[in-house]
Amino acid sequence: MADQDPIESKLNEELLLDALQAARQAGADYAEVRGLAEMQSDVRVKNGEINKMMTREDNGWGLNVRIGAGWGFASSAELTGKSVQEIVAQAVQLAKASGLVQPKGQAAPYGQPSKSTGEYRSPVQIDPFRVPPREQLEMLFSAEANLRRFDRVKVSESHLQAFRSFKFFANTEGAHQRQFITETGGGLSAIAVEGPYSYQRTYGRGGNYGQAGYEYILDLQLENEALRVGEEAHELVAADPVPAGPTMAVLGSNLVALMVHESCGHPTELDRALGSENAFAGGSFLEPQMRGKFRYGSPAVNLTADATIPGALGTFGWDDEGTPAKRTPLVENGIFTGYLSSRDTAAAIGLPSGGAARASSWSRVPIVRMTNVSLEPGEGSLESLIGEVEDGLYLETPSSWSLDDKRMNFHFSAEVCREIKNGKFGRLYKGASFMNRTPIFWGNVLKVAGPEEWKVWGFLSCAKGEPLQSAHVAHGAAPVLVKELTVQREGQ
Amino acid sequence: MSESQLEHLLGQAAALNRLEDFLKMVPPKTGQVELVLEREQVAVTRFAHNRIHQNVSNRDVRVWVRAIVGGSVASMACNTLDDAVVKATIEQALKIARLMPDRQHPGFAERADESGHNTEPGSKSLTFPGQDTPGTPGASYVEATANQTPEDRAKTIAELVAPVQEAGLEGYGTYKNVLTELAVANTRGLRSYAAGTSGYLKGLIETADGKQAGYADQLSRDVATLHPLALARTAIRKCLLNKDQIELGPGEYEAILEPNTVADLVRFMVIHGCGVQQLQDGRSFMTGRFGEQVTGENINIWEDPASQYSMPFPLDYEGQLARAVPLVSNGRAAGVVYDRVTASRMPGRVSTGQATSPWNITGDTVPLPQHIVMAGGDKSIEDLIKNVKRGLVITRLHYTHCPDPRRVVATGTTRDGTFLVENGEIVAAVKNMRLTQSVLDLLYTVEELGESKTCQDWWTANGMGITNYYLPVLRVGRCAFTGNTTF
Repeated sequence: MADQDPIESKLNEELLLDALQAARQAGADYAEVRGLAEMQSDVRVKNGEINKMMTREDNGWGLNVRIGAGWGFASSAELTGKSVQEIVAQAVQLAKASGLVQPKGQAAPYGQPSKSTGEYRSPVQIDPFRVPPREQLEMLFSAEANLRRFDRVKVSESHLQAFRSFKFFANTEGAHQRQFITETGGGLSAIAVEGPYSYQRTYGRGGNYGQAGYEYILDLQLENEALRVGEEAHELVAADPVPAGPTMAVLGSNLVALMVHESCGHPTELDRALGSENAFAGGSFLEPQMRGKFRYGSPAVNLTADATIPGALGTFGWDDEGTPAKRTPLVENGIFTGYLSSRDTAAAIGLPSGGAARASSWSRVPIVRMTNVSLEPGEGSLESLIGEVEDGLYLETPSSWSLDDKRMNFHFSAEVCREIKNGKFGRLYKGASFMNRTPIFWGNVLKVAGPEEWKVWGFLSCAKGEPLQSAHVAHGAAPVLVKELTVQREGQ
Repeated sequence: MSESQLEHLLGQAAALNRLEDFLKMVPPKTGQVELVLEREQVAVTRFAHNRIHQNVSNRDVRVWVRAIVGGSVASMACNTLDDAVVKATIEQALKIARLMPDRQHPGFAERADESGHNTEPGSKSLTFPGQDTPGTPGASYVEATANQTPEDRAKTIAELVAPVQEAGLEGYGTYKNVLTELAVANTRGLRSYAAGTSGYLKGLIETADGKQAGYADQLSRDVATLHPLALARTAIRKCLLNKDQIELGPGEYEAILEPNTVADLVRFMVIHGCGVQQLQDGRSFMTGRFGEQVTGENINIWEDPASQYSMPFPLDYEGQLARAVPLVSNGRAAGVVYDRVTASRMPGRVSTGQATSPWNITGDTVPLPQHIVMAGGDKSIEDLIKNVKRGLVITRLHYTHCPDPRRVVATGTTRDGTFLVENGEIVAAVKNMRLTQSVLDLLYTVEELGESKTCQDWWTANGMGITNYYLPVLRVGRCAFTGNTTF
């Protein structure tokens, strides 16, 4: 028999089930309880010093109840007999108060019941919380020193992070689920300064992360990557600004991953399309009646939400409403076909849940989130895409991005821009940005590189919801060849 | 009887006594230990399509342990007041600190008033309005706010939604109440405590087809000052005015920037330029420029943690008294904020009391201003519009970013009410546009400063930042737009 994971002892499952029972007795038509125990560590080295050496525990639980048309969610870091009574009473009060501002006789449907039971464990080879701090620091110091080998690099930073969680979920429909997830990753940043100019080059913007143990961090090879990142920062700050104008371009997979996140992932969130995020995150230009008809991109564009990709940050056994992980096409051969959805949002348009209701913490209610939203690979290598460009640009790694509140108009800028001449890489430019409208950009995609170039990028901080929920999501992407990209000099 | 956050307030005596008990667990002669206790209660009621669709509350407590052994520091955190867990957290922090290379930590403060004021070279003679005539001190904690119940929040939303329904429109928004307590104690004798409340109400009003939108919000320590009906009327008026939008091309326009818009622009000056870490990293617009002109001479911006208008709070996360700090004085780069660690790295500097929360797991913990005041004027927005020959009124921005921190270039799209003004009158609604411009350049073109408002930038209002503002409406001569969108 396997040893009990120590994190399991942080949640008293009997008390959580008591809360469910008490909610039912207090008049809840439906209730779900979720306990979450988390350990997190963050180690950062900056300019030759330890910048941060932090480990934290974050444990708590929440109860979501529905009474009539009103929903109430209460949560607490305390899990005792007394706090169970208090939180049940509070959730019921909140649900009843919600019922005070509802259209008469209109209880929204809550979709198909979630009755699954079972256990999910993400794969871990080396427990990141058992790796000695000195070993972690030695690797980070070495990587950070490599960034500083280049004269113009004035600020250098390396970091790694680890997360482990145990989640318990049960509802009044019979679901009973336990999930154990370990995530790790790290990154690099070099800021080069030359006269009045400064320029940042990173490894994957915030780094890269996956569901894995410390072996994932070792695979990142941060010490080697630092030599490339440092050298590029050193060169970029002194590089010429990019020539502005329309061009043929190849975009690297990390930049494409963020574009998928921002201009496909968010507008295919069904709660946005239905209006419940209008006042904060915004709505969506992808309205329900457009499903199956609207041309989102060229036939080369196929986008999928898939919560089953092994080792990706958006992978799980069940979402936070108890719905099993699913794979849902969002865009097929360029046509918009599907949404990321939860039980209630899917029910509102007559569909079963897409299994994308996620809560970022024990203190947050599940809302529609991305899982692993990916651009499906096409054919060919990055080299073959570059080889098709007579005169153009290669852009890699996002440095800034901004979109309107329906995700139609966007701005992205790239850390690195390289000239492409006669199918070969040329000189380096800095400060490339581009603005476009989502369906025009994706409609101009000529090719997506093949599986050998397809890489999963894990993002730690997808923000949505009030109070804010910062979700871990991932995106598989390969480089793309795109026509008529109007490149601007950053800030102009 | 429904429950309010007040019933779970720890209070100064209980919070500090608890920390006192925890400090007794520090093994003798092992090192310095500082404990930060943060109690947070958040209640958020959201509405969409004129109905409450989310109603949530949470109650959390965080204990942050910083341990120094020699000059080495390590940190551990937990979210419980359980003796055994906190004791283990303290012991683990000391153990890791012993393993660490010397980081030359300056040590913990003995008193809350060790923070103070710095004068940067080149900015000695600069003054700012808040220096001589500080704003009326305000209270960070208001009991009426802590006493709000779920029924109170529902009632406030019902008041906001009623005129929206009457007008045949759709209301979306949020009413949020927050009660926080911050207590800091250490083995050198420091004992600090403060509590804060806030009420934030926002209303986005749309037509049923979603083609017209108007917006208004209000932020205060005291919920008695929130006016849901007036807020609804402002947003409804904007929504109804925002019809038949015309499309305008890119270019430079005169503009009226409402305070929410100004907040989203000034934010980039604050987060990329007004903390000493950014200065030391060479990323600040003030790097090497103290005393030099960075904006028009009519611009004064300062950090004012005591003003009743800037969501006052007296302490920082090192238990130090938060001080007023000039940032831009008469258009010249004047100063930045410090915490104890960053101040110790620069000779002659002290903490200005702007240490930020150590709870952040995914980034640097650096000192930042959190209570920004920009000097304004008496004129209303209507008065300012009368002086526009041809320009735009910008209600607010969405999802702004900063492609060039050193030049403070901001980009973001307008939303919820963009209007064309000709010869002093609004003549048309305009489809949303993308503003892209150096904020410093923009602030060289300020023609008039009008009435001010307490507000937050889009990021802070939605939980992704920590900056509160008291900012005027601005009339600017050249606002640069680089594109537009379809709605």
